Amino acid sequence: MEEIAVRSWVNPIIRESYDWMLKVGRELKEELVLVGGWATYFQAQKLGSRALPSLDIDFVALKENFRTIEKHLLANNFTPVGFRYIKYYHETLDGGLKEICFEESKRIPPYELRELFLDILWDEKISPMSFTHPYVKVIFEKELYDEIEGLRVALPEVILSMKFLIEKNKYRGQKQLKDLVDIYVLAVSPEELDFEVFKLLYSKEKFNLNWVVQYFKENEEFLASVARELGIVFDREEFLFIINELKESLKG
Amino acid sequence: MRAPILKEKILRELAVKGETSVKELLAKFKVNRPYLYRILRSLEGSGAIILETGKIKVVDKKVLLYTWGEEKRKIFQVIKGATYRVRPKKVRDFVVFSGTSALWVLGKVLEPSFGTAYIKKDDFDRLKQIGIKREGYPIRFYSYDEDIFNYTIGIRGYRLAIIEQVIADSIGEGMYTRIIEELLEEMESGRDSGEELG
Repeated sequence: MEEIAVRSWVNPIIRESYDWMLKVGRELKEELVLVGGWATYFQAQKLGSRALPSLDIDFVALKENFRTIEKHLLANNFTPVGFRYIKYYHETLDGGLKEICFEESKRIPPYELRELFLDILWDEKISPMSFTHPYVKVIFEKELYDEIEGLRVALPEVILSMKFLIEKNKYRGQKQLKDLVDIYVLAVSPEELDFEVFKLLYSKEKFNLNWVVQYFKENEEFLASVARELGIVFDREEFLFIINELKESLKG
Repeated sequence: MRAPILKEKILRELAVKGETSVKELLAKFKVNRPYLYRILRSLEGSGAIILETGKIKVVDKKVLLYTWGEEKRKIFQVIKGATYRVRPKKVRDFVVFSGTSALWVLGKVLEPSFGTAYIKKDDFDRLKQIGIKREGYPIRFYSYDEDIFNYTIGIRGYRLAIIEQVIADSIGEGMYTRIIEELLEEMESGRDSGEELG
């Protein structure tokens, strides 16, 4: 379970990712909403639960704010590569990280090169390479986020719905296991989820919950071991109950 | 056969305190002296305690807990409890989990099914309302000794019986010994999981 093993606070790229996520999210608070793994991390904390830290930084944004966002990211030495923004690091012998530019990164042996990815999903295409997401517009319109740690963080229902849509992407191996952990953590968190938010998002783009149940059943023991590491209870029946309840509510 | 409920209270007191006296036990449990001495002599014989001029000292907690577990087996044979299928999240505000259901909260087993939980008599109606839906896991609820509510710890949002009680109840349920041994080792090395005393 390498993908899960690297998600430890001991890993310097995780700390770097955390710091940049906070800095960018706070400085562009009006323009960005945090989603994905770091959003799960914050929402889990808010709900009195715990989640794994994230490697990548994921935001959603509106096309109208593209110029402001890109200007800010370039000023902070993020390199636009395809649809992503990347920072490059040279891992030193003592395990520390030294930030380097794109040109330098080409001269570094791959095993000493570390990359920090910041991805933005837009409401509309910025370029042929950029990615859009069907929920972005409604997230901003209906303010489907909380303010946590000085930045806007998508609601648990939004994060979950976005992860439920993963099935439409091709199978991503261990990366998908991290998504499953995030789904589990948010679904069984101590507070009740608001099914109206799911219904709203579902009306924009339908997701299928069957793969979630199947994938959960295939990986129960793995999830139980991660839950133990996180210090949360692994509650199989509760998870299946909530997914089933959600399925029923979406039928109505 | 009568359920040895009073004996369990004495064993719990010894396990929690480690050191006490005959005088204290007599005052606290309103037990008659010959019965108390019979219990203490038997524990001394198995090497669990030392009894000297009315002073009691636990010297082998493992033996004490296994003795308690055997008594618990007798209690569970007599007092059947009430089994309800519930979502633990829905009852955690008013029950104390022990035995297998506490081992589940601690991440030692995958399911809390047929584990022990304690409930106050006054809360039984609430339990019935939740149990009627038949969602979640079958758990056995007991209300014969509300003293247990004075010996609890909070872990991961759940209220558990103290670890000694969890071990004794697990043995009483017939739980697999390896997990119990693991818990005993953790208890002796003083490890915990950020627990808060209840």
